[in-house]
Amino acid sequence: MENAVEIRGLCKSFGSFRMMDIDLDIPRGYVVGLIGENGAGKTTLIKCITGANLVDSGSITLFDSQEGGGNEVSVGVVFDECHFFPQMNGRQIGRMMSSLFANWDGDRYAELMSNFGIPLDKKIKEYSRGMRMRIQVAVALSHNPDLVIMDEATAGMDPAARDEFLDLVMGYMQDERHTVLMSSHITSDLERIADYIVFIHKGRIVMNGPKDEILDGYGIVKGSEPDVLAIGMENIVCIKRDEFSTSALVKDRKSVIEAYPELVVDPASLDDIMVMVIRGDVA
Amino acid sequence: MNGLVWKDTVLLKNGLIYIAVFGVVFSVLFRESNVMGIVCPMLFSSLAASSFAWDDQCGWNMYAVSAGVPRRRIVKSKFMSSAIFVTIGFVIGLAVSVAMPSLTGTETDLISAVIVSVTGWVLSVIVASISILVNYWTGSSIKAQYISIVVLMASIAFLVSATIVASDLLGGNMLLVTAALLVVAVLMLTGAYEISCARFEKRDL
Repeated sequence: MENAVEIRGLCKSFGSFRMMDIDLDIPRGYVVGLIGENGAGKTTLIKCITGANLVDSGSITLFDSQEGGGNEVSVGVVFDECHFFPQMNGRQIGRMMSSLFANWDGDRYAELMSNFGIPLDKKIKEYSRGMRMRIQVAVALSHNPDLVIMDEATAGMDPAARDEFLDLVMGYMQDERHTVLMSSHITSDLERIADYIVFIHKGRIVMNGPKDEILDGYGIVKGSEPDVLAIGMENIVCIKRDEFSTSALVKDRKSVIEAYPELVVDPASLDDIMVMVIRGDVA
Repeated sequence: MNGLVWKDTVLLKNGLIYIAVFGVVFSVLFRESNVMGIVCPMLFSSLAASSFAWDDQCGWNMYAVSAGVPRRRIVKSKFMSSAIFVTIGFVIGLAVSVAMPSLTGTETDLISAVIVSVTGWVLSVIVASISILVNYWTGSSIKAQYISIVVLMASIAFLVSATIVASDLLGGNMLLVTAALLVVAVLMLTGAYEISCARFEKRDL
C-alpha cells in the first residue's frame, strides 16, 4: 500500500510537553482520523507534518518527497481558526492563492464559494464562524491537493454545516489518489467517514488501526471489580473505577463475551475508548 | 511570490496613500523640496514592519507554510514588497522635489533632486533591509517590537550621520557618496536576506 505520509521516530518537545517516537503511516487514498484529548499532541503532529513545526528528531516523508513542508506536494489545509486577513474579501483571497498554488482552479473556487453562499466581495471580517471555515475549505479544495489536512475543522459548526462539510470530504475522496488527515473532537464525524483511526495520548500513539476493526473489536465490560478483573489483565486495556462500579476496556469483546457470557459487554464507540484511556488506569 | 507581494500591497494600501499624502502636504506646507527625496522613501520603508504585524496578527505564516509555501519565498517576498514601497516613495519624493521649486517660483535643480532622491532610495533600502532582518531576528513579541523600533531609529541616525561624514570626506561629491551607499545596500540586502532566511527556517510557527 502506498503511503501519503510516513513518519519514523518523530520526537518534538515544547517546554514540558513531549511527543516521543511517533511512527505512523497515513495510507494514500484513505481518510485518517486523529483523535486525542486537548494537549495530546494532535496539532503539534499536524504542524510537524506540514512543516510549520520543526522536528527535534525523526523523519517525515510526504509521497516519497521531501520532509514535511510539502514543497513538491500539493497540500490543502483547514484549521479551526481562519488565518486569512480580515480586510480582504473572497475575491482577493482567491487572487492571492492563484499565484501561490500551481494547480489553482479559479472556477472551482468560485463554484465552491457560490455553493457555500459566500459573496466574493464580502470581507472576511464580516464572515460568520461557519463562513470562515467554508472559505478555508474552498481554498483547500481548489488546487487539487494530494493531501488535505484538517485540524478541528468542524469545531463550532452546527450539525447541518458539519453534515455538508463531511459530504464535501466524501466528494473529494471520490478520487482514489486523494488523502485526508482529519483531527476532531467530534468522534461521530470520524466514525462516519474515517477509514483509519489514530489515537494520540500525552504525545504518544496509543491506538492505530482500521476504524471498522476498532469499533468491531473494542468493548466495555461493566460490573463489580472482582467480576471485571476475572477476565484477566491480559485481556484488559485499561480500567476505570467509579463509586459504584468498574469498567474495563477490552480489545476483543467477542472473545470476552464468549468466555464470560454472564458479563455485560457493550460495544465501545470512539468516545468510550477515549474516555477510558484518558480517565482510566492502564492495565 | 507575486501573490505574497500583492498581499502586502493590498494590506498596506491605506498606509501607502496616507504616507504619500503626508509627504506632499509636508513639503507644500514647509516648502521643503529636496529633503523630500530622502524623507519620502524613508517613510515608505517603515511599511515593511507593518506587513509583519498583519501577518503575525492573523497567523498567516503558519498557514502559508502549512499549505506548502517555501519559507525562503516568504522571506524573499518581504524584501520585494519593501523594494516596491521604497521605490514608490522614491517616485513621489522625486516628483515633489522637482515640482515644488516651480510652485514657489524658484529654479529647479533637476540633477541635485535626482541625486538626492537616489541617495534617499538607497538609504531607505538599507533601512528596510535592517527592519526586515530585525523582525525575523527578534520575532513578534511586544518586547521584540520595541527592540525593533530602537534598532531602526539607531540605524537611521547612524546612516544619516555616516552619509554626512562621507560627504565631507569625499569633498561633497554626492555621486561618490551614493555609489558607496549602493555598495553598502547590496551587501546589506544580501546579508539581511540570508540571515532572515536562516532565522525563519529555524522557527516553529
